[in-house]
Amino acid sequence: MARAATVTSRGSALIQLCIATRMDILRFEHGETARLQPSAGDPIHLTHHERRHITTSARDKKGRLAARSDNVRATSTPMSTEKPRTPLVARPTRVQVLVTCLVDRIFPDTGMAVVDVLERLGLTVECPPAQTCCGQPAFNAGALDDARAMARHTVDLLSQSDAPIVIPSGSCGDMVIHQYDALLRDDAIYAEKARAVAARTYEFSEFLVDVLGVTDVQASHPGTLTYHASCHGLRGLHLLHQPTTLLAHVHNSTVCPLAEADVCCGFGGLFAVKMPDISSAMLDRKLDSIVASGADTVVVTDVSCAMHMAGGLHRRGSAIRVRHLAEVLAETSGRS
Amino acid sequence: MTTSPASFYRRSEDALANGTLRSTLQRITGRILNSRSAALDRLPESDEWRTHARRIRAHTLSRLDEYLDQFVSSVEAAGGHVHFAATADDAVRYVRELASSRGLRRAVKSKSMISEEIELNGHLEADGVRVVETDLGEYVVQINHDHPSHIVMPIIHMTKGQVADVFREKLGATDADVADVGAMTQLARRILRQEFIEADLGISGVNFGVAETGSICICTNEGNGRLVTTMPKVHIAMMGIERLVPTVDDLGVMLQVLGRSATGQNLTVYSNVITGPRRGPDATGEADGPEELHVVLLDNGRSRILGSELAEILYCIRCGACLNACPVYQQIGGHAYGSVYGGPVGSVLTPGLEGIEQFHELPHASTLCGACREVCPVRIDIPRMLLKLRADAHDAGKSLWWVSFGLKAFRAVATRPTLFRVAGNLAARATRLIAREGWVRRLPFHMAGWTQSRDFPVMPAESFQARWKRRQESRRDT
Repeated sequence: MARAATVTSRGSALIQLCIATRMDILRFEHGETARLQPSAGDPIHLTHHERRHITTSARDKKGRLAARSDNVRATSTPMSTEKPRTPLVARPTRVQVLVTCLVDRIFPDTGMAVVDVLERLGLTVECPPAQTCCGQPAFNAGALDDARAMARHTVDLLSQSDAPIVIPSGSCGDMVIHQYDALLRDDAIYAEKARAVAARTYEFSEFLVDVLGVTDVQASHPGTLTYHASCHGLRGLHLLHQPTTLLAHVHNSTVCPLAEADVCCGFGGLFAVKMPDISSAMLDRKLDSIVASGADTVVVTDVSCAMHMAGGLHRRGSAIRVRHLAEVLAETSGRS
Repeated sequence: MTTSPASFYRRSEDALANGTLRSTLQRITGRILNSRSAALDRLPESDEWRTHARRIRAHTLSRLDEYLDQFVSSVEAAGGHVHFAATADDAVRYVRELASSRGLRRAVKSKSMISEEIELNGHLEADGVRVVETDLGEYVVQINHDHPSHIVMPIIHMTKGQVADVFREKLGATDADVADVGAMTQLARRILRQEFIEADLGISGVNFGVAETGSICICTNEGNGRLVTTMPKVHIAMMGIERLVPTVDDLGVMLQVLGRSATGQNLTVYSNVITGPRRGPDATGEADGPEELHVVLLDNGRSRILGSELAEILYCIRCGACLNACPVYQQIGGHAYGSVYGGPVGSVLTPGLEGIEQFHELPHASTLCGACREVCPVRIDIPRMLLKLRADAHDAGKSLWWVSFGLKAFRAVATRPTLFRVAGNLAARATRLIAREGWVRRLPFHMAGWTQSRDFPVMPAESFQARWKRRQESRRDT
């Protein structure tokens, strides 16, 4: 209160009262408000250890991004939402697949392709039968109660086995890995369960490259491919080198760059329906760069973006196809 | 701070119908973003600088009361005056009273978003004070009775041809006067030079206040900021209460990332650090500078944001990078947001300052793609706060009825796997009924927005889970 008193003598009592009472809340809630380190002549007040650590990680990331995908602008370093993932001690032998509701009802071929690829790599695949929707549509619409109900359902479902979870979607993956924590943080029962699920959940390409260490799945796809980096995968899960590395190893195909590969296609879930004018304008811009790329197939890691871009291309009468990465990887030279 | 009474939908429709606007926005934001990347690449360990800039902002905001106290003491020690304005009205009243008590009649202004926020110009003009904006973009906005559409580039929505038309119409410019950008700048310069000479009041914004020294830092590219803050006998600097940094060292860190993020410059052309009014004339005998310096610290809702889940938006240093990077902003421009602060930062700040009731559409004007967070020099997690505001709007009953209803129904179905299967089969059958050759060209009801520009795929009769079950059963049988 001493602080409040000194400042109150200066001016508006209202401001001072607000600030003095709220400041402690802010300090309490924000983990990162630790006092600044003493400067000691260093323009960036970081300890030597911190500096080395941050620099090294940034360089690694940049180097990797630059080397593996020249067509996408380098993304920034991990966000504060980044959670440490439990490293798997041994190569898993079985996985659970949460195919997502869109794959289940609209793109079952993609789901089968995911299963094919995982089985080809020697894994035993389980698909928990009661799976429905992760709750992202409700979460993004601000209907948090509805989102929580679906999140709890999904957490229960995925907690029945301790096998790692593979989701063929960057946005549903981000939902389970990052947003469930925000959604269920205050839930006495589910907070811990959700964290345990998140810790062993991986997006499909991430699982192949980062967990299994596989970059060539012996896929063969004749044609010209290009990669669109779906937003939630790219900026939520930092998916970039995984899908592009897998694509680079697809036999019989050429991968060509896509201009503005990291710019949103305008889908945004309900956004596409609620704000169709803006969404359509964004889609138009995306389709123009797809057409200009010269590719015959656009590869994505989210069927939602695929549905959006493919719907737009079909409306335009274009023959360009949009396919999920798993479908391309499932193709071998034995089949078309 | 509302700039238009029309709904967001109406304003964005107008913007989208304007092909020139869209191509101008996309060309300029693309160019600025490339410059930004290049400027950050020139700064060794730029990611680390940004992380540290964020840390400075977080630290300052967490001890804002202490730093405000220190800042006020320092400004006063340097001979300046400080006024805390709780509301926009309060700030306006202070400036008006100051102008009338000192008999000030001619004001020149350098760019200040705060003055836009409190709509200062109109109030001063009502008192008979002549107010002239001296930032070139703001000057064009002023003579055209328009609003800025970007926090750094006020007339990003205009082409040079349109500016030439404004100059012809409002200033009576000749063809030679508006022959090119250089000529137009020279014309404005000649007019504004005379305004500077005659002005008795200078009003500026503030990029950063330094708590330790009581200095205010003003970054401009046109030099008008220097004239505004040195020539008139009274200088009023207007700043939000959050715009502080603790020390001059910290200011250095912020300047490293501000110019690079805003325009791709290592540093803005003019980075002024002003401490107090003119000293002397007898003591140290400074030859120029204002006789009086008044710093107006505006709250206007900021202390309410502080301590809420939106507090992080106060880290913002107004570089405008999130606007440039936003694919929605690139399509609709700043006016569509209907507020002084447009783009992603505005979609959080405006409902935060003004309440969600009036601006509940803004948090939905985003695909949550995260491009704003990626380019932010202080790494503000804007998508997180858009989600928070969407939840607030939903709780306030501001969701569209069919969205709330649809999500409730979806929840009822998606938490019951058997019902989910049955409902899915029905939906799949429905899409097959209305489809032609595998695609639905027109979805019914509110879903029609989708088929405005895209076809919708037919849902196959057999779901993935049905196929999976069939496969597992046949494997078991063999």
